[in-house]
Amino acid sequence: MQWKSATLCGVMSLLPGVHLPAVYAKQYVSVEEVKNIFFHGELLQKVAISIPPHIQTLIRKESGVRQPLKGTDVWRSAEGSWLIVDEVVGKHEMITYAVGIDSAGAIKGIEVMQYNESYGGQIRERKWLAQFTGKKVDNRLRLNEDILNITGATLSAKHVTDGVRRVMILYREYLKGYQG
Amino acid sequence: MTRSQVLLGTYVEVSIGGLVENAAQRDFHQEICTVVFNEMAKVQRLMSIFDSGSDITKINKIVPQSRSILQKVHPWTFEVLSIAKKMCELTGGVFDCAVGTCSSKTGSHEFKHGSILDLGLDEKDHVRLHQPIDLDLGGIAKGYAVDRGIEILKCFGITQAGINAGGDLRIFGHASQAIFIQEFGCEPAIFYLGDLQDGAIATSSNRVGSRFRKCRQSMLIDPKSGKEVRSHSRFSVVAPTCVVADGLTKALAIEQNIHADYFKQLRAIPVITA
Repeated sequence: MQWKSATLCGVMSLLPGVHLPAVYAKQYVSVEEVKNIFFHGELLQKVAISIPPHIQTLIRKESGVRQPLKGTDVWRSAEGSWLIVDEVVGKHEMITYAVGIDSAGAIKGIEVMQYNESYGGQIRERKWLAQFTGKKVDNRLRLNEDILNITGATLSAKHVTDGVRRVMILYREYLKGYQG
Repeated sequence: MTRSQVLLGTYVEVSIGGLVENAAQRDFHQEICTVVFNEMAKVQRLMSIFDSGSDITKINKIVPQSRSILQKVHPWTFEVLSIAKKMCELTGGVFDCAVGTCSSKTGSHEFKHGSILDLGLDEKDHVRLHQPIDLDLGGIAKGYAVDRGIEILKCFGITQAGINAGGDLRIFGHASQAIFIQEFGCEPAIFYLGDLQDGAIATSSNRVGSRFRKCRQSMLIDPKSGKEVRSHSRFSVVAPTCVVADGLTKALAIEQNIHADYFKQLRAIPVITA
């Protein structure tokens, strides 16, 4: 184990930096990759669905997620498996995630595809960070491209948990009996 | 490549370094990530207080009457409890995961007596209870899950990788990596903290009650006094394993003593950021 601290002593004050408006985007996997992860090459057909208003109301009430479920990114296999890509919005973050459901209605997998977090103008400028990390910074820190190693107090994943619940309500109330 | 799933109540990222040369290698890395997530999910099933079938839930339900009760647990649970007990002993009771449930279970800071030191761990994969206990492995179970995931990655021959479970992270490989700390206060931001190679880091802070407001109620409690830790600093610990890093952040937050012996004994480095 090797640790090289930004300061020489164990107690440090975080210095003020230059403020830039920014969104920190973490792109994990694409739709095609999620298809491969959940269904291993099984052929999936995109399905255009229109969620009836009474089901939208039910989904909102039961899941507690306010924003409507778009239902624009839904795929189905010939065997009756489903892939639903949805997004949930928090106060400062937007998370795109995928839910795979097998033909028996069980969850095959839940995958976070993209995580966007707005720092509301407070993210520190790359040049400011560069004073600590030197030449290596350009290779290792490219905001919006690389996934950073970020420690901190645990971030709750409640938004996605609520989102998955609403996707499963959509399955129960609509997709399960979908005739196409 | 990096994949992310929701596990242990937070976002878990598994990153495998190096260039992906073809589709077969990409598929292989994806499959390895799946195995890692499954391993970490197993830790969740065994040790979460929110899972009614977990070993920890079973232990917490036991009420010994006139004599002690022996409860069988999974070897992983036994290992984490053993580590937790050792850390409790080394820190003189400053780290004690037998009181961590006070706020998470009840929403209040009602203090209950009991310590992980009351737990008998003399028989392999069994715990002996002499009195009721209220365990919450919380953070260190998350750290342990990260450590197990890292072992999986190494078993598959991966040479550069990392796992971040909502801020508890461990990396390995020949290259050092920049570590940043997230600020949840009035000015949400990330800051450069240092460079880490082959190690883990975890952070405890009170700045979690509301994402972008200062926490009204402390999330950290001194197990000895039952009092809240009133500080808005961030307490990070660098250690060889994530389970140790996470456990020692609690001790650091409570004592705020970067010279404490237990850091040296466990080969850990404390970092307080104001």
